[in-house]
Amino acid sequence: MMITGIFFMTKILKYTISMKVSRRKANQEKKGLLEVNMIDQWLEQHGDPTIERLVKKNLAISDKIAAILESKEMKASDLATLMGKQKSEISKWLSGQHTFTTKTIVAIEAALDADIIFVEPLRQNVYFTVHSRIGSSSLAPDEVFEESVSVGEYVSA
Amino acid sequence: MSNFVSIKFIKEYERVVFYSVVVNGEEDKESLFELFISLHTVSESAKLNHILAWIRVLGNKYGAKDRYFRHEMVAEGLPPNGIHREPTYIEEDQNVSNNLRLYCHRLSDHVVFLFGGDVKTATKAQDCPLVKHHFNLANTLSRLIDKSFADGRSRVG
Repeated sequence: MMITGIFFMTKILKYTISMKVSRRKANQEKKGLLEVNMIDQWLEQHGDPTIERLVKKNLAISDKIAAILESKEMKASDLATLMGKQKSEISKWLSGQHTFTTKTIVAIEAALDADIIFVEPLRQNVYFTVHSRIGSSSLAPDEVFEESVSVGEYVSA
Repeated sequence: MSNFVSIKFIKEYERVVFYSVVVNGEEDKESLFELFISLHTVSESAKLNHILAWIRVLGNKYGAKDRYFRHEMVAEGLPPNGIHREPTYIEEDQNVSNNLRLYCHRLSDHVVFLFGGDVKTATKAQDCPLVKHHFNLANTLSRLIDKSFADGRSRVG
């Protein structure tokens, strides 16, 4: 997706400002020079993984709340009324910038009668080796059973 | 006084393409957004981290939905907030106001122009000596961009 346009002049306020748009199609051979990946580069060089995780989590929660509201054909104002909150508070929740407490999340879940977050179940791994009986009774106990190559992992539901 | 701006392609993510502008220079010069990053990398690293992480998550996953931006007259701003609340991010386990403002213009859910900004020290942008210029310029540029599209001189291709 790109923006194309022509050079033009326009008067805004006290300034005459003209706008020229990069003709990206005409400069395909210079693509590497034109694209400025400073956002990713800055985050790789200076970024704190904790901040990025927080941003992702906050957005995910707000997006989930918005999705639940939409599925129930509710507006932000309806949630505000339901919870006895100001609409500005709900707007802040939906902006994705709010860091929720567990208490607030649970209160929203109760109001909407829907889960926003889930806690993953514990995995229990049980490793086992299958032995099969071979040979005669004259074999020593440790030679009676042939160790199978089957090593399984059991995961509880 | 005559000025011109050149639109500079910044980064294309899965769901959003980001542009910035170069004032009185060609697109190979430093854009407003690049200047914003350069100025705040050292002094406001954590807050800048927050904003850039936000941009990347929106770009990769959620798109530039309206509710994720704060409204600054014609322009928009990051980070977003509630109507009467400050945006917060986490600093030492406490919700702390992120008063670093990046002004931008959301053209659609998939196209955003990133301008400049600074630390906001007053309730109203127009009253803050640090962000006032950025706020006014962002609104001027936003009107220019909107007019360009409305007149059919620019289009998304």
